[in-house]
Amino acid sequence: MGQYSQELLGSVSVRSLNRRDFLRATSAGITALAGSQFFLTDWARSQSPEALAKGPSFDKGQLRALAQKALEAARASGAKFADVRILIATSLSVNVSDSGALAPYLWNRAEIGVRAVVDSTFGFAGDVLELDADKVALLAQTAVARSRAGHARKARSFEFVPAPVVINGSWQTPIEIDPFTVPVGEQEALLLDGLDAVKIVKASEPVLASCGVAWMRHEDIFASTEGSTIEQRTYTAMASAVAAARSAHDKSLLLVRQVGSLRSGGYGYEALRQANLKTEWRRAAEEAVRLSAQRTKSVEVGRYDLVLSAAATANLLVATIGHPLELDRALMLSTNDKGTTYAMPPDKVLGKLQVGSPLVNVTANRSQPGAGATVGWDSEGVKPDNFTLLREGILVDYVTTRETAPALRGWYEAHGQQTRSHGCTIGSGADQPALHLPNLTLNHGATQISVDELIKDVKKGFFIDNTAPPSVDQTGSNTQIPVQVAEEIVNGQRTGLSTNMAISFTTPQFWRGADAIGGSESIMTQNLEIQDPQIYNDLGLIGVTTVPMRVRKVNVTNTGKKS
Amino acid sequence: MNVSQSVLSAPEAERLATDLLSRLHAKEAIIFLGNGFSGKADFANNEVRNVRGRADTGVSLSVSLDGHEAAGSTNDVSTEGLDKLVDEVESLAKHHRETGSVGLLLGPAQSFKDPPIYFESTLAAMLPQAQGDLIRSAADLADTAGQIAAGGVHSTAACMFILSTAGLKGYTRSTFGEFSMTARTPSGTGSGWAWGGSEDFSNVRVNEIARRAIEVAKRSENPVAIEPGRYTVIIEPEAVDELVGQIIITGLRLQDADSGYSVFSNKGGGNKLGVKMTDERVQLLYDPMDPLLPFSPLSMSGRILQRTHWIERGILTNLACSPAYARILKREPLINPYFARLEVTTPPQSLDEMVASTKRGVWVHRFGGVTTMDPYTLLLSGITRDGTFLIENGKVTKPIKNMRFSESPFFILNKLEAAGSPVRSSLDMVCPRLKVSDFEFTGLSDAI
Repeated sequence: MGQYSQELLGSVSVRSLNRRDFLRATSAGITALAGSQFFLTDWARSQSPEALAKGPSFDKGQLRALAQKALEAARASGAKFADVRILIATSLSVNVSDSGALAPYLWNRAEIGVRAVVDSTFGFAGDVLELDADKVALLAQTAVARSRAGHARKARSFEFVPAPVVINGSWQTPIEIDPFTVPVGEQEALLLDGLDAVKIVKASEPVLASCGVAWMRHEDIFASTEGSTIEQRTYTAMASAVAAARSAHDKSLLLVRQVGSLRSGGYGYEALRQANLKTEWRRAAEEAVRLSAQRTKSVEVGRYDLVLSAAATANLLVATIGHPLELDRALMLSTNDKGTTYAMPPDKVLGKLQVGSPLVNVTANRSQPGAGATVGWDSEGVKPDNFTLLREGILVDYVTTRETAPALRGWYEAHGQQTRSHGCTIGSGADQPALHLPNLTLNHGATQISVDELIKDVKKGFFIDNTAPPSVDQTGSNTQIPVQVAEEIVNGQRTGLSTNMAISFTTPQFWRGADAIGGSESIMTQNLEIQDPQIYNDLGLIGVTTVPMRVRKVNVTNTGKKS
Repeated sequence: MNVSQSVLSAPEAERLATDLLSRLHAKEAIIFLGNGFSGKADFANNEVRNVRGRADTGVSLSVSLDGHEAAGSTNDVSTEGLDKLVDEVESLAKHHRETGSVGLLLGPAQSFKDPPIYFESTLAAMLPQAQGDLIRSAADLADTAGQIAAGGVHSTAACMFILSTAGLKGYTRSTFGEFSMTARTPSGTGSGWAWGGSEDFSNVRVNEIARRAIEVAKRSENPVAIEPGRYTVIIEPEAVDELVGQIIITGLRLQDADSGYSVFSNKGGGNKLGVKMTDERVQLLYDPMDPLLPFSPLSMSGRILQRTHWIERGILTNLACSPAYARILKREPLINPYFARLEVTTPPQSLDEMVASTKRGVWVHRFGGVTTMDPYTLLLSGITRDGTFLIENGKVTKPIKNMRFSESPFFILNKLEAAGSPVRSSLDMVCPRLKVSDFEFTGLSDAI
């Protein structure tokens, strides 16, 4: 059976396994039942897509009434602010590998969570959802009791930046085909057909292949004591197909290629249909076989120019610019978990810190169609806006929430900007809302420039197509990233594969060395899983849109040491 | 499930699971049913940030129906919820395109007994008032010391009942509570971190932990740079855990080793079972009855766990083997529970003894950003943090700037000079303090 560890098969995820979270899940025993799965009953399959699209068996009116009950109970217990999130979630996963179709998995859950403030501290209570007004009231009272028990040491004011009240807000991920309307047998047949195309690829050893798709559907109901009421239905697809071939020259090296046409993000079943797996998966397998025939050499330590694909750039963007610009880090609110940042304190670095070269413009949004973090409103009921994090390489903003945004009031007012949350929380049901990265974009350059053109202007360097998860210090600066395999560049030509490679740098130095970036024709979006230690069940998918880029004079080390 | 914090009793869980089993058409099935709840309180900048908690219920069902498999779970354990689960999972199995199913490969019926892992003290410590008081007290200490601290207390309680058509029936419940704190000096140049955790929260001395973090922060202020390179290092147990824990995180899978893709693979083919991989004084093992690291023998695989060595006297004696792979190899499966103890069989040395015998070395409290650079040697890289000091001529002399390292736990476990007594270093490991020679630092970091 093809049970290859996820790391070896080259996941594009930047998540690294948090052993403690895994263990908490197994000791609690509940979320060990991992994976999201969608399933269709005989009854459901006989329904028309319209009927199914109506949603699950809960009555929306009942849920809205329960949400209001929670808020009433919170107020009656002394909360001056409260909000509530009800989540009905369903997911299905389908997987195939060389040994055939693995057992499909379906997961249903219904949850409710109440957040309340009595004085200046948040109290939160989350639980399984039961259609019982008394139980919901009790949950709200528990949240309030927690806020009270967590009263501050010293008197302070509670500052929560204002957000417009939303009345009967409604939003749905615009998908084409609800994956729940497609029988699981049909989904598996599509994947198995693609796998058959891989099996006929000529190679000295069988090509390894696997594909997994997880479909998720969330019904979210939000209400707050400020009067907001919002309903959203989000669809998320988490899909990946890989083909891998063992190197003929280095038996421990597995060359892995991802099927690029299979998209993850805010998509329905069309993501699978449009992936053209029979052709694209075979193409990925042929590419893996081609690479496996190439000679490899252990990289020579030195300073090199690097040309990075859009995918490699995306991983670096998240680790060294995205995460460090989470405002809770800069305000020292997360020093005991996530860490701090090289970009602090805000009042000293905003408008001044040169994080990257003038070519580096980084923006953020939660509106890009199909991108993983795209929503109508965040989990605090804030409508996210599009904003700029780096303008010509200079820091001009952070990733914010209602709790953290007030700290930037001075900066916003001085620049004629509104002091508001950018709407960057995730967490629904029994998860307390937490700050989380939105979709990120490294904006394309003004001129069209292909990867080959970027390579032509390199005397001594490497082309890096993908990276493994990076090692970064807790400020996001000192970084070392393993690169499983890279193509060496000599005088503008690709000359062969190098292995045992890691690149190392400090963040501002690296990004300031970016001297060319791709144009609009080279834009690609990766949907990456960004797991938050506080959020149990959400993959935290975000869309990271980047272009290839070239960075000069980066330290390359050899990881082949033996003692 | 309701908000009143309690785990299902064994009879309650058994009743629900048996009820579920009785609704099945499938001849082969395994059910996991349980609930749990947690309480968490956090502070930052010496002030309370939030107090929260959540309760979860889950039932998971795996079936093999006429050679077709499927699985599913729900958090609705009402009659309707269980009906829906059975209906959906069995329907999923029927429509699944199975190819060559080998069934669920269920473990046999076996009895077991939990060690003491469920404590009322942890439930009491989970109450909001108790948590609020604890973190305010820790924040008070930091404030009085003129430092800025963040930290939190976190407790969980959970139960699990497993029932299978092969006759396996077992119930377990456990609690766990922990506190950690990061203290920083106002200059921003000093930082200290400390942690404590146990199944029995009365073993977690919050104020003591807070004081340790404060003490290290104070001593680590105004660090100076030293030249990176190879040094003798004394590594605190929590930092040893960060490195050796990566061995456990690989999964220790026999199948990966046989396929040629892991640190346990032989260059020429095959796996390294029987090969000496570390110093002969090293043992890496797990034991549900470990007094410092107790856990239920009832594993989430549905198999009962027993004391097992991965490495014994330096030799790789076992690797984990999934039921499916075990069937192919015609051997017994072996589960990795992700709990592990690192033992070095040598008379333990105290910290003072280790320092006194070090001419020039580095004392490391903690690592961060630890990531695998090369899976075939398990070469890791990361950065020191929260208290890194220079040792000169048998004395800890000054705080030093943090540095990036490049080492593998397998290299380190072959360069052992001394070891301390084992302690609980995290939720899932027991490690001793270690003294190691020729530990490689590759560069300086500005991070505090």
